[in-house]
Amino acid sequence: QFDLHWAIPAISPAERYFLSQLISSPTKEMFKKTPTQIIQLDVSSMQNFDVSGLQLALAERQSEMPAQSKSAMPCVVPDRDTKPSSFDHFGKPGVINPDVQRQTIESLLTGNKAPVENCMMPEFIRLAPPLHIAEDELCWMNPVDMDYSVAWDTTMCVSSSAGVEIRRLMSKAFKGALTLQQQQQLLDELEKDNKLVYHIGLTPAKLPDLVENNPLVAIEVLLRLMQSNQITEYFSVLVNMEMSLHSMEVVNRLTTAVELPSEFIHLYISNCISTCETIRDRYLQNRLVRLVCVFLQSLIRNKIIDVKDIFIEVQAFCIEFSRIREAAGLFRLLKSLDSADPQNTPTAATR
Amino acid sequence: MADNKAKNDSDAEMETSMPLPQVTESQKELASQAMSEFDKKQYGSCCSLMHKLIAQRPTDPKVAHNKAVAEFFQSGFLTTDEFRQQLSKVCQMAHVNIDNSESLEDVDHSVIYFNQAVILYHLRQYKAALNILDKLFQYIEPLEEALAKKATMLLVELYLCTYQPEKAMGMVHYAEKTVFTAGKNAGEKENKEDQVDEAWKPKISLYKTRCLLMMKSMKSCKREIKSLMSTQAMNTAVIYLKSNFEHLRGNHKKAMKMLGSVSTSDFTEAGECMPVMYNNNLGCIHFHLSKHHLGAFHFRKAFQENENAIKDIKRGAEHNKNLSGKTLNSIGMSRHFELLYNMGIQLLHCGKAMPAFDCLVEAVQVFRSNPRLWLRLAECCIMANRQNNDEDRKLEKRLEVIQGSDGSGIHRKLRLGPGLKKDNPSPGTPAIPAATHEFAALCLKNALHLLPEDPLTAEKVPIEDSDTVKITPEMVLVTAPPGNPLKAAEVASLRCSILAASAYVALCLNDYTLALLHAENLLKQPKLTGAQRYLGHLYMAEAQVAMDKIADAIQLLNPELVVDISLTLPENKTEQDKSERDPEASESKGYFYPWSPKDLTRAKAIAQYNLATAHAIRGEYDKAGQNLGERCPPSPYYLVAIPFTTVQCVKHNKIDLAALFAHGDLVITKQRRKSNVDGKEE
Repeated sequence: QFDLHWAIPAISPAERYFLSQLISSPTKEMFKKTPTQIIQLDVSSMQNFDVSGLQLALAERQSEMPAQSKSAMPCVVPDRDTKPSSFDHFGKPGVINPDVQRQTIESLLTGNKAPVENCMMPEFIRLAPPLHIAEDELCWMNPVDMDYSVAWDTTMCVSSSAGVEIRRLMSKAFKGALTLQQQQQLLDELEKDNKLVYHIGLTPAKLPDLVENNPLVAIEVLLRLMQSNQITEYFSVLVNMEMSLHSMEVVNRLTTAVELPSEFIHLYISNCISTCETIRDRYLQNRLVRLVCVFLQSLIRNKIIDVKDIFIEVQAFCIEFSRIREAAGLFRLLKSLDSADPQNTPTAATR
Repeated sequence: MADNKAKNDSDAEMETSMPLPQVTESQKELASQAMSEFDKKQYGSCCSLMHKLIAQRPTDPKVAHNKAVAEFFQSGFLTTDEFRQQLSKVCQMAHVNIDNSESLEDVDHSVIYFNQAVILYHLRQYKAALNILDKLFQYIEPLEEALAKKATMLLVELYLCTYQPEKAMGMVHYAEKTVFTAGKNAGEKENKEDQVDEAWKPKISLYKTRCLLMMKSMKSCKREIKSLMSTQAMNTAVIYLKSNFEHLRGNHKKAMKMLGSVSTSDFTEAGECMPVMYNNNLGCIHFHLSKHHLGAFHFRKAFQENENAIKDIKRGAEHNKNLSGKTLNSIGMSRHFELLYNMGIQLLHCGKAMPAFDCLVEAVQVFRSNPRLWLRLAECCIMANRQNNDEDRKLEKRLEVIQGSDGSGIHRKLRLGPGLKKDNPSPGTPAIPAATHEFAALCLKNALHLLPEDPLTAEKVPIEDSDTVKITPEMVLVTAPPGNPLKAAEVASLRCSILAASAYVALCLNDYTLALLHAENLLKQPKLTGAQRYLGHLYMAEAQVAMDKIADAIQLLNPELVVDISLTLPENKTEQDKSERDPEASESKGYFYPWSPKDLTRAKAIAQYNLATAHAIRGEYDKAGQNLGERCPPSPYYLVAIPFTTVQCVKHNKIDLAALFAHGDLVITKQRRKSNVDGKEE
């Protein structure tokens, strides 16, 4: 007559009634009864303990929970011993012994960590991963055969009066134009000593000043620095500096003297064009556009750049500034080159 | 702004150029005398000459510089502090700001830059030294020849010290072509263009060997070493390199023999302690021979030697300031942290998780950029919490299944144990290093971040030129100081290990979403070992069950899917050139820590047990029971497994529990009653 539930110990109808009362609507009368009275209640006469609504709610609620959280069971399981444990019980299997009952209940329910509070779940065996296998992990030590020691400065007191003079001239050259005589002196000294150019204190950051004030000196110095592994630094400074007559002159002279990397020239041209387009001052703009056109014409005529590479960009530039005579001239030059070999420039063919 | 700066600079130049008087003939004479004395190593007389010279030219930075150099040599390199002060004074005089200038302004200052880099090198501030030398290198062409050579050599050394072997190699090639070409005269140049100066040849060869070893390109390394051995077979450095080479090839006995052939004088000229290196390298060899305890012994010995060497030096330096008192060479001599690193990894493989953890936690403070070291730390944490996978089979664990009984007769109740899982919340924050899973999670996060981006996720962006994308990862080396940098294949396998550990740790921290993510990621990796694929499935299934996707998990846990649990990649064996490996090398592959399950049957049993668990959680106790009872091969986990499902079945089928416990193969209750059964039953 006991209801068996896997998670709840067996309960009698009376207990069931009590629980349902307790959960739904406990009557005051109920609390006046002793446990014994409740147990002995005749529940068959009471019809109103319908807990199906409650059960439904419970089932609904449980369905929302993950299966794992519903899978545990109490740690205490009945394990009836049919064999008599003492003389008294001999021949009386299944007889309730109040003393033993009380003791069992006490030991299961009381104490700091009462056994009834524990539960047990199905558990995965969780394997720890193996240690990582590396072929060459430890630090092997090899002696270092070299002796890295402090060095003596061999240039001490080796007079370089020319160096001092040159450096003074250079520091002037960063600030303003040198006289023709001073320029000549500077260039002569540079001519004499190949390595002197590294001693004159010209860093990439200072190059723009030199270009603006003394383009001729800048060209000579840059030509001498061509062997340096820093030359690209100088180039990139030159490309990104503000466009001016002097910078253009320097670039133009450089292109005729040595072979510059083509991406450098392209970058410079785009820089020039965008400067022309963004400038506000009308007068200055006209001037700059003229300069750029002449510059480009000379580049094209000297075959320093391949027209195909910059065709679209330059053409757009020419059309935008077609009001200026030099731009129109450049446009004509482009067209004449274009018609010379049409199959190489597909953009022209579609036009 | 620019004008202003230029003005300042020119002002500064005025100051220096104005008061510098012309060099008189007598001063010139003094200077050249001092230099010749210096070259003859007569530092005493050199110093007195320099004193005379500085009295005449007190404002000349070069004179002040050389005076400091002479005094430093005179002291036997003991006065490093003073020398640094002098050097910074010289910098002031010459208006040089080494740390902040973008590049060298004047070649005249190159010596100052070089010397600063040398000092930093000996202080082991390699990055800072490299910074300075990089600036100097831009002006390498005009440099005076001897200085140029020294500078390039130091640069190569620094690249090696910072584990950038490709850069070092590039520099060596550059040096061979330009700085060290013998024929300097225009006439000779034509026929002797690429002829390297004979005196420098062996040194360059040594550098090359070190680069190649670090890059692990064994074939070219073999050639280089052969030529080295033919010319200078008695050189200690050469022998050590050769030994290192043999060690990397897997010829451990040969490597050991080579090491033993060197007479161990205590210190090299460069101030390195040979016994430390000798013992350390022996430890490395034993590690690879799987003799972990012997390896640990040698590392411990290396440690002691290191301590002794430092003590000796400190004794000499007691009444001096910080750096002074030690010779310049011996300042950076201690290999304390490298040894800690080696020791930690060795101890981990000895199964001593806690001591290993202590070592590696120290080491990781210095070698923060090593992803593998972070993984090792996490492995220490994992091992500290689970010694090995056989832990569950121990007798104590099995006895815990039934904790005891209460009452007697029909009131008798069994008390079951709470299960295997123990949630021990770690005290404090995970940021404080302790061998917990929380800290392990942190370590693994670091490790993953230090790896280059996963090619699986990265490749999606550039679709077009997939050829170039595939080539580049081969080129990239990931640094792993103090060990050699990782190659692409090693990075891939490291990533798999990190992901597996991450998934495991996330499971232990009940972070199932993350665990699922890591496991999925792991299974997506192109090159997985059998064990990793197996673990990936297990972890993924567990996470899925926790997230209520039991149906998916059940599919993953099919024991028939378990076909391979090998710990290494199958390609590994075929990939290696047979010509490169000696026959004895093949035995060297067993240096890993034993891992269980060892065989396929056990692995399948575990998968099946987990399958039963998944069924049980879904309430399908019959299926669970089937998986446990009938097809499950005898497994140690069986004993732990049975009670739960049995109990569940009992409840449902209303069978008498006692009868079941008495049933055949279930011996736990008997064990409990006797409790003196020994643990090795099956």
